[in-house]
Amino acid sequence: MHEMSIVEHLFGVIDDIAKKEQLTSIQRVAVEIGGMRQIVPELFQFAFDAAKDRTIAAGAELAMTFVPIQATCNGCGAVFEVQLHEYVCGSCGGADVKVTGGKEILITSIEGDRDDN
Amino acid sequence: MIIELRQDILVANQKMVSVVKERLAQEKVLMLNIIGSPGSGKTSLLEATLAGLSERFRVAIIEADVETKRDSERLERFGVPLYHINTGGMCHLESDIILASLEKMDLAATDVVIIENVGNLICPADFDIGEHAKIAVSSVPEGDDKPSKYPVLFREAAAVVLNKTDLVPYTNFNVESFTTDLRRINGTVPLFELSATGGNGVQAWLDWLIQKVEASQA
Ligand SMILES: Nc1nc2c(ncn2[C@@H]2O[C@H](COP(=O)(O)OP(=O)(O)OP(=O)(O)O)[C@@H](O)[C@H]2O)c(=O)[nH]1
Ligand SMILES: [Mg+2]
Repeated sequence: MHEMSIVEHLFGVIDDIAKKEQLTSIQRVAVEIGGMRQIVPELFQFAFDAAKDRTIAAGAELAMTFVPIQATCNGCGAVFEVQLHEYVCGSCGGADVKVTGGKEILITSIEGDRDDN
Repeated sequence: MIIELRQDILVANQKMVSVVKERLAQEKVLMLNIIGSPGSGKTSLLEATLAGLSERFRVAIIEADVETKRDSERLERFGVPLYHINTGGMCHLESDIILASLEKMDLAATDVVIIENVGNLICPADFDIGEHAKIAVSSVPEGDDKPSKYPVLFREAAAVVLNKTDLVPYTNFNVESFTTDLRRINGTVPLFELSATGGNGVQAWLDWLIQKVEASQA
């Protein structure tokens, strides 16, 4: 259940941004999550809904985008998408590969209202 | 209004990771993060490791447990500095708590810090704590399908320990199938098949570790 901890961090970031941008309410939060993060979407949504009450984002909608895992072969240099956690180069069959994408855990946008007084 | 950004959600953890890494680099200390299921033998591996290493290097241990201090008590007899963390229900360690432990240590008089993370195959793999290497511990009674079922830990690991090999004859564990699956996930990771309590195979693990510690001091 690391989804819970990550959502806790997410609300820390949301708070900081809301203060900086002087937001009074938030309607939508968008995140981008890489395949290496082992996030179960339902659990992340559940944790988000449980945490948002009594925050500036109470009632906010969560939009999740998932990014595939990408690797680069250290042997032949081919860049490929990792399917089903098989970290083997599709071009040369080499097993010495480096993960070059899929570790993202980002907040990509916040939709809210600003205090304009 | 819509605010577009690309901000790391774990920025607070990553900031502390940088501080931890800096502290370790300053004092040339190697830090290992041992991750595995409950009961896989993490503490037993620490016992075998301390028995073989504590004469040669100055080792400090950070023990994380959701509850109780039992694992720490098991390690007391080695007389090495021991720092205990009760995570109070949390399924993993984060970098702030590690930094707090490091600050209590005499790092100048330490060669290697070994951390026993909370028994769990998923959550600890997702949180960097500033370690130089994650060590994945899997054990024979858990079955040979653990790499396939928990690929990220085995992918991120700098070494994999397959523990309790003395129990292979009593189970349907297929070492070849474990190895084949592991190689699909991580083709280059060193694999140590050993029995932490029986002693078989422990020396190869110690040799790898000794080499790591020496490299970090060079
Ligand atoms: N047969 C056999 N038993 C072992 C071996 N290593 C550990 N054990 C036993 O497995 C049980 C669990 O070992 P621990 O070292 O406590 O495991 P752990 O991973 O630290 O467990 P938690 O901290 O609770 O997650 C103990 O009863 C050990 O004696 C081994 O190589 N062979
Ligand atoms: Mg233990």
